[in-house]
Amino acid sequence: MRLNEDDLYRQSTQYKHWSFTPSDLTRLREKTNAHAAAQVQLHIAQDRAERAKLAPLDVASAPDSGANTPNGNGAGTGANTPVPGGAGDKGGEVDCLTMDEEKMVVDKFCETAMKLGDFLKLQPDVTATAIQFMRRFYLYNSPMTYDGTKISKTAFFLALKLELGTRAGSASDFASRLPKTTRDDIVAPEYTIVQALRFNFEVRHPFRGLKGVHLELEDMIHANYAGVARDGRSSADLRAEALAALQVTGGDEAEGKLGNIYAHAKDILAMAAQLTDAYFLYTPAQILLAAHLLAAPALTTFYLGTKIPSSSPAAPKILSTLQSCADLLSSHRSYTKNPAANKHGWADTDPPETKRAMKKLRACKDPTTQDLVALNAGKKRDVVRDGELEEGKAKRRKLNREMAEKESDSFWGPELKKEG
Amino acid sequence: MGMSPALSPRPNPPGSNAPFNAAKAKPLVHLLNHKTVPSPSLTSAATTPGGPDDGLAEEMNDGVKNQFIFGSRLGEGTYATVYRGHYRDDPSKLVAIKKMKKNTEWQDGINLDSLREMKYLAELHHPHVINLIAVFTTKDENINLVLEHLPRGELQDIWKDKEIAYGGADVKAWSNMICQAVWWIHENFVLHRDIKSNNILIAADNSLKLADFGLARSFANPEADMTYNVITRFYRPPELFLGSSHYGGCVDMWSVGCVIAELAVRDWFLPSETDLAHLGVITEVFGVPTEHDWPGISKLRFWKEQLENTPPKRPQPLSWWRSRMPLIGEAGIDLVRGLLTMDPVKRLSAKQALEHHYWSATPRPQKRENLPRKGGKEAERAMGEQLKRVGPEADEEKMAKIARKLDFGAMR
Repeated sequence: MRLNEDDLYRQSTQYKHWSFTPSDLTRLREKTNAHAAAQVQLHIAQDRAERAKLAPLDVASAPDSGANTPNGNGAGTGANTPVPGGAGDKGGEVDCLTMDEEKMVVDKFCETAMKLGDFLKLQPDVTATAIQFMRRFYLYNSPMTYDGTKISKTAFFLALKLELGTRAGSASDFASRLPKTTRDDIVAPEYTIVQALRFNFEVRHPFRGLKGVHLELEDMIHANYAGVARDGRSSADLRAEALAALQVTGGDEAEGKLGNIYAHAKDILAMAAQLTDAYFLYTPAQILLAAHLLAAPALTTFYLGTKIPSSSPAAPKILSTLQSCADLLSSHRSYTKNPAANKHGWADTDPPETKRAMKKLRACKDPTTQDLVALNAGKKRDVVRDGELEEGKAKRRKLNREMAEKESDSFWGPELKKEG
Repeated sequence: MGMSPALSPRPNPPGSNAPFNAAKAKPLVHLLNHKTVPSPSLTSAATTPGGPDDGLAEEMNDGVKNQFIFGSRLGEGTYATVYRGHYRDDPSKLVAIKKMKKNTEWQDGINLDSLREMKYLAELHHPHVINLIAVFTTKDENINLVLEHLPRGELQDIWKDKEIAYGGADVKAWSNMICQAVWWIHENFVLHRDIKSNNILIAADNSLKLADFGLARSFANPEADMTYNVITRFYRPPELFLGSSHYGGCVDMWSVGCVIAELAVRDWFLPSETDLAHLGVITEVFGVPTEHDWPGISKLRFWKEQLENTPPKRPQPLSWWRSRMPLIGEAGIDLVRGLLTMDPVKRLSAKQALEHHYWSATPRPQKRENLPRKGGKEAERAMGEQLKRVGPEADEEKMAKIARKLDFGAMR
């Protein structure tokens, strides 16, 4: 049995559950957004009604004018009540985030998460996995429902456990490295997250593939390349062409330049690839080649030529896919042609529309899902309370099952065990 | 391997009555394998205000959950309860549902073994790897793994049960299925790290299934360290006893060699009392390796204390193998010795093992339907017993391993 890497990739959950066409991705986000917006409207209205009951005299006045908000426990809930038009307007529609705004907000969450990863000095793989967990999570959940800072902490801890195993450390240790964070903050949202992740925990990153390309190119410039180019070029030919593509004459100079290209492409993968929809729309191989294409167009074209001749009918298709992926990556504002530039300078300059969306978010958070620790504790209580109900259910199920078994017996006849 | 078949977004909505024969003809088994998990249908309108407070993720989860019915409890342990279950729309299609308990003592959320098991089984679909059919949560936040129902126990039961007679053709068929499974997981860059005969389960059709991925991990980057404290002792290769923290599929291949040898001798192949003693047991059979047989051995972490001052010893001659393993013949012995090569670099890889001439030598591998097996009812009863048994072994192994002992992997 022969397998190629494409076959293997098609077995992965990343391909089966987390790869989309652009229109599918948009439709899923639209649905998530519409659902969440409806919930936000409902819950904020309920919240207002509650408060109106508690403080009937304040009804006419502006809801947020008082220094004391009625709900002292729900951190953030008070701030959630929007004050759109001032007094008298409190029954109106909440101005929810649109799908596009949600996406901006999620991108912002992921940028912040990337800084958190740097702050914690985590390996790039762990940070990238955590960010992809967040991106996947927010396909099925809205930032209006779940706060990005809270989700990111747990996403990081989950990524740590999965990438480092027993060396991940405890949740308490992890919490202690974060400002104002307890163990409960880390653990409470975990089920919500793993459910939205559909229990798929493997993220296929482009980093190792990029390293492979880099090593192959190094072999080529040293005329050590063990593979055979599709068109039968000798290793000396390959070396000459690689040097020409790098616009250098000697091996030492080529090596230095190759190192810079690798570093540049790696930065693109570590930032732009994480902060755009690249993982949803392209395969890891496409992403790494697109990053390499941005870092060194001529060299990448040469490299592709050693794998697939430009005369092949697939070649133009591959190139155009890589180009569109490269366009996506270079559209991100972290992208720079000059790899020496300040790496994270871009991250402090949010575009104005992102700032607006973040501000808008403050007024349309779902009040029922802001305190995740209490929510989690509440669920556990429900289970205890519903214990009896569960039992009744179990009995009913048992009856149903026995019925079903009887029916199947009458259809197929009884088991043959007596004869065996 | 083509694309997943085009499927409607909601092929099996809860409560739907799929045509009976359609359900028969096309098993709805591969919920993780294909896009048959009902994604929240993209076309339907959003929930109306006042509707249930479930997000899309919850809706998707319920879609999965509602496809299965819990049946009788098969066993219960500290970390998991295993139920027999079946499909809602076809009670004749059995599954095993492993309900992971939420341990309040567990301070770090979902435990690592469960995460690893879900992570790897979701990616690895193969006829000889236990199939993770679906995963869902119940509202008490328990994670439930829906696994294929493997009612015929463990491979270990077969050689232990002296009432079962088997021959060289049977061993060959079993060994081949194991090698295929390990080849597949290695092709997917996954190390199992706990292959042993009671982690290999037997399906109703007599095929073997590699189970228990609680210690599995992906191949590491070359520079990253891995723990050498893995793999059950009897099956652990010498390089791990010597403290090697960089390894690949070769560690699993030693374990495969031990399992095949076990089948051939119908006994433990390399039994020992302690970790410290085990290297002595290995050298008793394979001799004391030198820098000449195994270049680089003297650089391993524990070589000095473990082997440097050991008097030289020759490996057992071929005649020793012939007298111990007549069941598998010359070719079988050659394969086992290839797998049980001390130097991990020279050890057969899974691919090389599958290319070995043992498979084409006589006798031909037994046909699957003719493989010997334990009786059905008896095996199922034994399953419950096995699951309750968490005694001495639990003390010896790490606590985390209990969860896996109690899983479906321990069923028989």
